[in-house]
Amino acid sequence: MDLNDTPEQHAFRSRLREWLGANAPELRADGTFAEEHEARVQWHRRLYEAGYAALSWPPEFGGQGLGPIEEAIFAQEAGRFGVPSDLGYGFIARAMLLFASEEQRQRYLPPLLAGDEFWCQGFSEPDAGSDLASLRTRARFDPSIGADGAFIVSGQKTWTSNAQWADYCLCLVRTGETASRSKGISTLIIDMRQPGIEVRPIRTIRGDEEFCEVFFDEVEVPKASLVGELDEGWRYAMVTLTYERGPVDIGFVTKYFALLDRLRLVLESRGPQVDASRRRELARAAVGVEVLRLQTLKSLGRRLERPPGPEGSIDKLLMARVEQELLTAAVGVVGGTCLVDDGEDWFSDYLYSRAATIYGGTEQVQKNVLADQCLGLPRT
Amino acid sequence: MNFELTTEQQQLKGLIREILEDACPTPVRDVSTISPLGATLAETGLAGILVPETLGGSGATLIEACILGEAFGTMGAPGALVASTLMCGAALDLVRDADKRSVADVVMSGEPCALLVGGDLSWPPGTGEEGEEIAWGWLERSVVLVPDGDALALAQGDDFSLSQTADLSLFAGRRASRPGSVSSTIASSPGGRRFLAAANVIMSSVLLGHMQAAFDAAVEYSKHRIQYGAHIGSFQAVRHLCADMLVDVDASRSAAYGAAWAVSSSGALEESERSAAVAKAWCSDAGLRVCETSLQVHGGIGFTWESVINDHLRATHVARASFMSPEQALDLIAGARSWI
Repeated sequence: MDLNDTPEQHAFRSRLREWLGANAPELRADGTFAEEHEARVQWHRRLYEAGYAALSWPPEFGGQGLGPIEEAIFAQEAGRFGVPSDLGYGFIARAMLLFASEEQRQRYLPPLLAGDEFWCQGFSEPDAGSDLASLRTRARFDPSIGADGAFIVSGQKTWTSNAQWADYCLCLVRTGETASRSKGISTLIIDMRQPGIEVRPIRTIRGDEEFCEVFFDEVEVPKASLVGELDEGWRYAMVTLTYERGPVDIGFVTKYFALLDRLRLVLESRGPQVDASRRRELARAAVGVEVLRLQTLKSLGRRLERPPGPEGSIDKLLMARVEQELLTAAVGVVGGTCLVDDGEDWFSDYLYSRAATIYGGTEQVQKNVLADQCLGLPRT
Repeated sequence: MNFELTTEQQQLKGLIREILEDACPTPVRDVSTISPLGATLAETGLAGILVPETLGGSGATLIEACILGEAFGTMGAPGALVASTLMCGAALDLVRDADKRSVADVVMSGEPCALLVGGDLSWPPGTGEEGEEIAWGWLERSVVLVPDGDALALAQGDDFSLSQTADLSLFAGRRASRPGSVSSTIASSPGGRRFLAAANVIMSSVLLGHMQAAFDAAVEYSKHRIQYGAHIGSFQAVRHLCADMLVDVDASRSAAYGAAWAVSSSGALEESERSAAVAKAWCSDAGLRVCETSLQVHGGIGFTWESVINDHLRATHVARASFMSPEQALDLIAGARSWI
């Protein structure tokens, strides 16, 4: 057991720190969501050129061929400098790497990793949230179109992050019978720049437009855009989702510590009039963040030895709890002033934290995963 | 960067389990079984796990101590074993030179050795009123480590007036009073602070053991107990309680061993104190949640003397309060200059 960097990891960290010191951009917090997105794209491209994006990806697709530890070091250092890591293409790209054909990988992965083409992920639907296997977006195969035939896709996706600027959608569609549940689902690569697709941004609880509804009306998708085997999409999706937790989680920890540091300043500026119970509440939140840091390091070590599995739900549940306790404590410490003037985003961040137990599989679904797959509890 | 136990540490873990399983039935409730257990620990060298090699022990790190602490918790070992083997072992650095050899010998022989703590079980004693002290982990024939200036001195049980108490916690502590008041600078001395950090890490590992055992029992029970014609582990209300416990136990493992590594590898005192306080605060609260949840999953059976859950719940309360309460740990963290 040794939580220090190895000499190689230390050297990587030092080089990175030096580079970030010289290159970390000043990100404006008051821009529109589109401006923020554009700034992140520019940042991604600079990272990519400098060899700090796509760290754990194979060099043949433009990656750096490094491992999860280097990814985690990057996330830590980026957090320290207050800059985002690369664009969150993580598990869409992972699905492509694991399940797409060689031809598809050569075509799509390099521009995806370079930040030249953008992807969104079409999983959830209005009537298929936690119960993803009930999805109804239909892909009917028509052999008469073109040389090989094509899928005609109709239906609706929702909670689709970044669909408004996506070039492609990795989309789960029903190719089997309506009642086929997980057995009749396939994965398609859908070109988002074509007729029949409408993207409507959804305004969230804190006022921004992070995700969208996507409508498909008789959209034509060539047969060559099927990923893997027909009707095997569910299995791919389940494997892909286990990659949602991973090395970049440590970046959240760094972000939470930065919040705690700001809260410490708030406490200091208030002086002794701050109630002792508020101090304890904040200390308790700090305890959670530190334990999350250790938990993330533990999982990172495991990631070196085997692919991620259902135990990722432990980390997800812990992270959601820690984030919510932290932001709840923050709003308590900062007090009513942030409800009137939220220039420092305390209330906005608190509102955002309420999604932590919903996105990426609700708290309740994560608990079901643990009960089934980690504890082997009987099912009804 | 590697969180896994080394091969040697994993072997030690297996060995400890074998030795303890052979030595006695768990949980340990009968005081008469403690003495043979101590003898087993002495024979196998485990009793000297924290005693420096120069004094004849194995001079292991806090990580190995936590492996033993966790095993003590899992088997529901009485506080007396934790006190003599782990706490007094960890306190050796702090024992004044004249007594060091004797204390090391007592620890390595598996004989009982208690520590004087405050009336609220926090360490060091002397913060409460006179006579409000406790000999932590006391058994018949125990010697007791008491503060003396900024060191610990060896005292005999006869030096105290010890009172039998209504002890529902089964941790074998005793109210202790002695003539004169305790005045000691040990709390603020670097040695004292270092010991308290180590003690908090060890208590965290003991708490981890208790919650692991309570959690395992609940999962096992929910797979066998049938109501409404189905295993209760198939009901979502029960499944989610089990998942909650899994998160708490797994995170507590990160907390306890992460702190053990930090304290054993860091020379910086403030950093060690903070890491240890984080582990103690987290494992104290998680331990209580897990034991109470396990009792709930067990239903009425969990409320009986017969069930092992009550041993872990009672011991968890003792471990929470001992050496540094969760509230004291939070105050230490809030008062530190930085979060980590």
